[in-house]
Amino acid sequence: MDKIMKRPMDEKIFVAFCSVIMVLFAAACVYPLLVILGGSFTDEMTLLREGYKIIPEKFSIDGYLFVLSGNNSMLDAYMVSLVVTLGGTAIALFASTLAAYSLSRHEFKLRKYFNFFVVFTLLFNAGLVPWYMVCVQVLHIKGTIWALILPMAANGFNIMLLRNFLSQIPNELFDAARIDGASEVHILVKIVVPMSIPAIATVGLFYAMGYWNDWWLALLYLDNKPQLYPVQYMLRVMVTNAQFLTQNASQITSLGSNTLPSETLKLAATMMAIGPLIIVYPFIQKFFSKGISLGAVKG
Amino acid sequence: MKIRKSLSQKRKYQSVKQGWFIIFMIPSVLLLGAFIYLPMYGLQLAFKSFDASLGIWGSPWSGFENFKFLFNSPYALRATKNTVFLNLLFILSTHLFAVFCAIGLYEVRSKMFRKTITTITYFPSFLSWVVLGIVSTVFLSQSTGIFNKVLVSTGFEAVSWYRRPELWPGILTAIVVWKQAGVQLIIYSASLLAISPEYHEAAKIDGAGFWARVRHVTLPHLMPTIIILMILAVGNIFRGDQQMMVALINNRSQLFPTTDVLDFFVYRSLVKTFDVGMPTAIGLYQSIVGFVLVLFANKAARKYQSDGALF
Repeated sequence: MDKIMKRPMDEKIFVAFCSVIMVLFAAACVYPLLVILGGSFTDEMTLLREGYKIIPEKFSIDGYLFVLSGNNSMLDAYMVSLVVTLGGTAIALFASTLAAYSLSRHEFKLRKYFNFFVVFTLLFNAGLVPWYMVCVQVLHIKGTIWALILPMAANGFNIMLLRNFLSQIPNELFDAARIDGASEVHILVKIVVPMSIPAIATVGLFYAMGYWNDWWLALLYLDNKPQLYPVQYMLRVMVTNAQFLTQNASQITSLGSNTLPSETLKLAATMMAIGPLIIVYPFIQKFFSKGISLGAVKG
Repeated sequence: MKIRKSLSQKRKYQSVKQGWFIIFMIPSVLLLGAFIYLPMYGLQLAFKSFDASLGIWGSPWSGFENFKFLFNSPYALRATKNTVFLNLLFILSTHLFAVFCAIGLYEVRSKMFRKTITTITYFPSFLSWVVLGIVSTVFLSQSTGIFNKVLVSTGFEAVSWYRRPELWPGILTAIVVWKQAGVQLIIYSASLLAISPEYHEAAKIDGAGFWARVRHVTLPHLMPTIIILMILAVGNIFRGDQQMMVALINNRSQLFPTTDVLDFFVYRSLVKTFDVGMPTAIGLYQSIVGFVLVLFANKAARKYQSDGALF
């Protein structure tokens, strides 16, 4: 108590001013999400007349019904996103952990060269068009589910981040294991991985978030394959392509209204895309903050 | 004693079999090779006139035609200007705001408050640009948008946000700060928490007031982090965010005068006109300038502080 009293006036004013700004900023971060949540449960006509409200004036779930029905519904997109996120993260973590282990060991004589190979990908890349042309003409991933997985399965930044984590393991452990005759595979599986679960989880979440939020790869490589649309791209198509929606809606007869609830549908689809994130966010947030502060401090 | 130990250490290392280390590298080398290094081979398209039937390798060389076309195009010049200008706006606004918040948050005594604020403000960075595109229409749309509803109900005239290109550098900056400031805030807060409290105690004993402590203790401790983040940012100053522009601007060509950045221009050239040579040339020009900028920034950082450099 005594300490707080001792704070001089200018300090108190500054802290109070900052606190107000930050409370406002935090409110600005939450408000749009509440508006979308409220709007997604509002009746279409009411929403168009009254505007977006956090608490719906006239409750309706038409938006969700539309999003979840039809030939290409959000449920199919969920399946695609789930497969891509889980499969992609598994592949990416497998490749990155192995590489990070090699790059973290001083005993590896070619370390310098492989290190350069990975770091250079962060400094220079060919740009969109050559990348697109090579993916289409040389690697032939266009129109396949691999287009959503492979281009993001190795990320130089994540590999270096994991390498920094792994290089903190004390050398004596490796020396002791080798004297006992353990092979590198044995050391990796029995010692390194169990010791680095938090680090691997952090990098895994980075990859998983990248996969879940991706729509760019679908836009470039899967435009004519609606059955392979992931959630985020389905959302974009539903919002920008009215034709896609009416085609889908024509198959729906169970809904009473003739007009397409295009506004509430948009908000319902958005809620479905960010809902899983909001649910898991409290549990995964601490891994991310640890990961980004380490990544930034160490490069 | 020390020398002998390091020698025996070295000998021990040399006896470690190298095979597995190389095998472990294979998956990542293949993936990075296919998706980052192989496209570099496609960079030759910048010097070719592309013919789809002949492929990347078979298309005829055209020398610097694509570059001539690029540097004579008023759109490429406009896109270059927009890219640099918008990036400067984004970087300065986000980092100034985050540093301000971090310093303020550091002085707040309640740990609960600090944790709640960083947790909430970090969330927007998890949203994709598609979602942000929808959020922005919720606020900006002409008839139902929140901003216009408020303006009209308070007696002002509605603003046609999507027809006023001059407003968009500001709108985009606000969106970027909203999305990214939370990430930077966590990074800056983490480096502030690493300051030993003794520095502040010592400064207080020496009679330093609050502002003196901010200037002579807090800010100097933030400097290495600020510099590293600036190096990363400067290296990317020639790179626009195409996902952001495709999601927020898309085909609203009225807004292009202030929002058309190089990467967005490249994307449209590829998708709308199926042009290959010129956008490849733009990519090459961006990558080379970006590469040189990173090297310079890194050198500058090393001069400033030996451990401030990135590599």
